[in-house]
Amino acid sequence: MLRTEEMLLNVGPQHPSTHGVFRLVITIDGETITEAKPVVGYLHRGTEKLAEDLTYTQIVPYTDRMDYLSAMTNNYIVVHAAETLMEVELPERAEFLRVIVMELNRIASHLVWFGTYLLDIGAMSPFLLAFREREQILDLFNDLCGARLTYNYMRIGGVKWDVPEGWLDQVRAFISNMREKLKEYEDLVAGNEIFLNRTRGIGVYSADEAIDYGLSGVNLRAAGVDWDLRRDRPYSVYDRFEFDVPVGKNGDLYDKFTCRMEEIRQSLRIVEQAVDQFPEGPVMAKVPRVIRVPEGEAYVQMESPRGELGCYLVSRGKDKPYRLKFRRPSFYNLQILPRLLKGENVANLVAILGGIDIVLGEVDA
Amino acid sequence: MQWNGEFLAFFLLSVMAIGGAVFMIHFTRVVHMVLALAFTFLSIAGIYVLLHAEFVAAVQVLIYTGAVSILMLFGIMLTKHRTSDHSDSRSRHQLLSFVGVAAFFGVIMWVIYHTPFSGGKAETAKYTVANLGEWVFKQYVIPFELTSVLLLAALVGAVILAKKERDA
Amino acid sequence: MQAWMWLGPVIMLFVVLGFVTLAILFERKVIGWMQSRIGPNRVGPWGLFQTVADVLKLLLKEDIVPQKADETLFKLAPVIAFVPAFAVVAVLPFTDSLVFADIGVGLLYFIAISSITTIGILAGGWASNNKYALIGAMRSAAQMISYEIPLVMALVGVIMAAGTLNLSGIVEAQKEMWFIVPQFIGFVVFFIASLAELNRTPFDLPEAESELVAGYHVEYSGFRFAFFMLAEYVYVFAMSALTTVLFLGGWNPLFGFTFLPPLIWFLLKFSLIVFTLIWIRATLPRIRVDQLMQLGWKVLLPLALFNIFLSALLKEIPGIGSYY
Repeated sequence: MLRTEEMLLNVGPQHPSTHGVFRLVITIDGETITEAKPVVGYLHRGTEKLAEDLTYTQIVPYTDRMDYLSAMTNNYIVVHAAETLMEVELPERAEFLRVIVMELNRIASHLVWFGTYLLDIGAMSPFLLAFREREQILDLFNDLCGARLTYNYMRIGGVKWDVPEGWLDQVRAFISNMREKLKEYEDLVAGNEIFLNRTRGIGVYSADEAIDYGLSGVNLRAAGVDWDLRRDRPYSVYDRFEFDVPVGKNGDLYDKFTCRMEEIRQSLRIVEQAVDQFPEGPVMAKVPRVIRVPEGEAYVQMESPRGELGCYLVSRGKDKPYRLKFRRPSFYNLQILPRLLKGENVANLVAILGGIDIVLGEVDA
Repeated sequence: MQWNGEFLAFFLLSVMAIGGAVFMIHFTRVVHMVLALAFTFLSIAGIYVLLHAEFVAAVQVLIYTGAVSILMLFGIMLTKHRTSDHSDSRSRHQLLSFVGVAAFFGVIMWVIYHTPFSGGKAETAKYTVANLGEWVFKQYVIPFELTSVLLLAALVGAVILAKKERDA
Repeated sequence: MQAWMWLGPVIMLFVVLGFVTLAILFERKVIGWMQSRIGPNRVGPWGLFQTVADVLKLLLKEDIVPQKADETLFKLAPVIAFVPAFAVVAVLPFTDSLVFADIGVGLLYFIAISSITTIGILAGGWASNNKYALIGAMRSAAQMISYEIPLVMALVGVIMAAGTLNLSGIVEAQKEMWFIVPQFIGFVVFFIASLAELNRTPFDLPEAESELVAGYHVEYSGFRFAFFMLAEYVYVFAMSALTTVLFLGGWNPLFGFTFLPPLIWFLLKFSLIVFTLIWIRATLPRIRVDQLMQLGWKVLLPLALFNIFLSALLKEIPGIGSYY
């Protein structure tokens, strides 16, 4: 057979579909990828090392900048780790607020994914529609803590701000609005023949492979593994809410899409229940002004929008951590990329990369 | 021979066609060659227009632009990018080629001058598309159909060959 | 007569450029509304001069030729792409009197000349010496060649019904019934294939932004880039006009509403097609390159052939035969 020239192509670090500064060195034969090597680290800021010189309260804003699409969950993991070691008893209202903002943030994060993913595939409108709804969440956060992206909202022992007046009603209004809009998205996208052709049976991996590669979150559930830390290792007050965990069957891109869309719906359910049961009381526990975490080690884990977000904290009893290590789900999920890309079409590259849903701030930390 | 617009156009188009062909031989990069070739084909289409054969001209453009694009694709995909232009310094080889080409030119000219082209101008006005269609589908329908069968056979053959190579 | 011969095309050039200016604004406005945005509204009233400002900006930009590019070809390519785009406008009949070149094989001329643009795109993509540009150019060539075949085949039905390749003649043949009704399969195939020829969503693979950054014109900036964009929008103009002529009865009025002049009728139908193109762009995701080929060869081409067969068959049936 005629041999065509192979070509080395640098996708990124500046490329519209790498969602940040991520480089992918691919070898292509025509339009088929024969090899793919991800190169990460362009956005490395040394968050973990920096944390060793910061007090616990000072670390929180740094975590905002890791997974910047879901800063609330990052806030939570670091305060959760410290609270676990300190064995703080949190006021209920603070726990509920945390759950509400984390779930709202999950919705916002999935909305960004939905919009940018469709943009990757070539549809322009869903992007703007999704950002329209995300804007409402950002406005809610803005009213709550004064920031739209990097919230710096949680503190060890609770949250920084109590809800402003009328905020919960706004959340309720948002829930009903979002449910309607979700139907609109699915009308626009889910039945579209081109979309189905581009996602069904693409980027498939089995449940075993998903576990072997250490995937988590939607990437794991889409392959058929029924595992959600909110339900299986409940933290905060998740055990008080009723919600389903959507699980895929084939591990293809379409399953990831349906899982994420369903997760938005389930998150809305959780927020609705949390708003209905919202208790009175303080939002901060009694904690000392200077926080010293007792000597010890702890690993805490949670379900971030991207998967299992973990934090390993080693304390020597000082006001600064001795060592802080984050298990960043985007980084782990990215590892399966070379295996998925091999033999694929260039056009599938962006679809598969987008399907993993990485945030470069989190990959590089 | 008079200098009217038609002659001028014919002259220009011929020069363009021949020029394109010369450049096609002269260039070293595949893509440049193919473009020069396309230039020649388009000029020839222009000459067809001058001869009132608009249909042939349009088909010439339609077929050859496609063919040229394909050729260019093959040129790009099957050759190395940025091949250094290695100049041929074998002068003996060049001399030989020159002699060969000159001899060929002489023979062709001799043949042209000695062939008695039967005179009589064709009536171009009656070569309309409708007439062309009628001739092809009435008078020459059997050769036409045979050609189409031949092309079909070639197409199927190409597919089979390609499939075989992939399986092997 | 002489003055008209020289002035006509110049006026036409400005009309086409004017259309492009308005079409880009219209597209941005309509897509804006579809995406719950406002669209451009800063430059001039209702954003009317937005495109003018954009073009001016492109004109004033520094002319950049990449160092490792093939300079001559890089500069020549936008011209090769644009000239055919404008040349095809010549044969379009806007009304029975407003037509520049009423040549016998108008339809074939349109298809043939428009295919030359592919060479310009391919040359530009190759000359840029950029891998994205090269892939974009190769996609473009493959796409245009694959879709030209169903495009032409879909037109055979129309040609058979009209009995001519002359575009004015084709419009005349639609006095009684627009070809979109008897030639509906042909229309669908033609419309999809023309979308692909225009490189518009969902077939905008050669410049797929999310995959190839900008495809074949990734290295172009300033006025050379404007030329590629211009060629693209002139083709939108030409293709919409051609669709109107071939399937929507050209300047023929609907329901015998002759109080509107023919040119207005033409413009109405023409605008409908342009709007549809924009609408599709706001709605659909992009198709994948191998699926594109499959659609072209395995769906559209057989459909077009079937349409030819059906048209020939129905032509022989008394009663409705006169429509085919």
